[in-house]
Amino acid sequence: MALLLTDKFQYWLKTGASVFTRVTENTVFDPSTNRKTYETNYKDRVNQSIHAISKTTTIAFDIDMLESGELQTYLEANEDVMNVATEVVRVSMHKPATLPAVGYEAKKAAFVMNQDPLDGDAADRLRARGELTMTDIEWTAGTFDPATATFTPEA
Amino acid sequence: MDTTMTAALLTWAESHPALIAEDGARLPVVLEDLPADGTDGVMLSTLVGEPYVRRYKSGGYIALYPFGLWLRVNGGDTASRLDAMKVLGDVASSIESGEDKPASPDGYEVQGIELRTPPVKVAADESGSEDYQATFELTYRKRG
Repeated sequence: MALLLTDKFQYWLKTGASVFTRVTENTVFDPSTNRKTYETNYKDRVNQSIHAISKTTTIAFDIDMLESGELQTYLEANEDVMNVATEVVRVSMHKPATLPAVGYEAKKAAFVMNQDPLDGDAADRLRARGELTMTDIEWTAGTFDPATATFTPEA
Repeated sequence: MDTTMTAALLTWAESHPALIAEDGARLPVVLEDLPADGTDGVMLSTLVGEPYVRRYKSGGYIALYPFGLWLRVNGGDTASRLDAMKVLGDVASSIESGEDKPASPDGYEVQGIELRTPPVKVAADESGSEDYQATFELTYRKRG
């Protein structure tokens, strides 16, 4: 069985009213979830338990800037804007959609984006760095067609 | 359009305005071979090197393609040696602006070429042929 590499997950970012742009040139595009927990402290128990009571999902990103790149143009335009409303679609390229759906299995959620100033080391490439924070309660499952950059929610 | 970086480099070298012989004729450029029949010619050779500068999570990457241009001349005198150095020197000068670079193959984007080592004589044969070499490094981006 072959290893699944990171490129099997394609990320697409909403960069216009109904436009999704594939995230590329990304040395970092790392989703993570921080959970708030409640730990019991019952007198009648020796073994206590920990319960997750809420979570925050974020995606840290570090993307090389390209001249005229569609994604990079969007990032530069929103460099100084706080809480830019956007959406993220994660496409599982190793899981083709079941007919009659086209594309691949995917999930989508709303996020807000906040960036650091564009910068880079001396004589090196400029980079866009920042964080996306999920605002939807849950991901919406569906399919995504990379050819048309269209997400279709599960019926 | 070329489909590989090697083919794109060969096309670039074959049409490079600096690779002209003393009599004004275009110097033949061959991949990994130099003429052994007493004629002048250029060899494009791929050099060994660590290819990746940076790899992206999305699957694309920035990579290096080190290569050398070997020029074989059959003059055997100072004038022909100066000409040989000038031919390779002109290639090196042409890339300094960043405008002179191979056309990008499908799916790739050539970022630029840099000179690694200036023209230098690397071999001489009893028959009178002499080889000169300059080495370069092409940087390219694989989309994705």
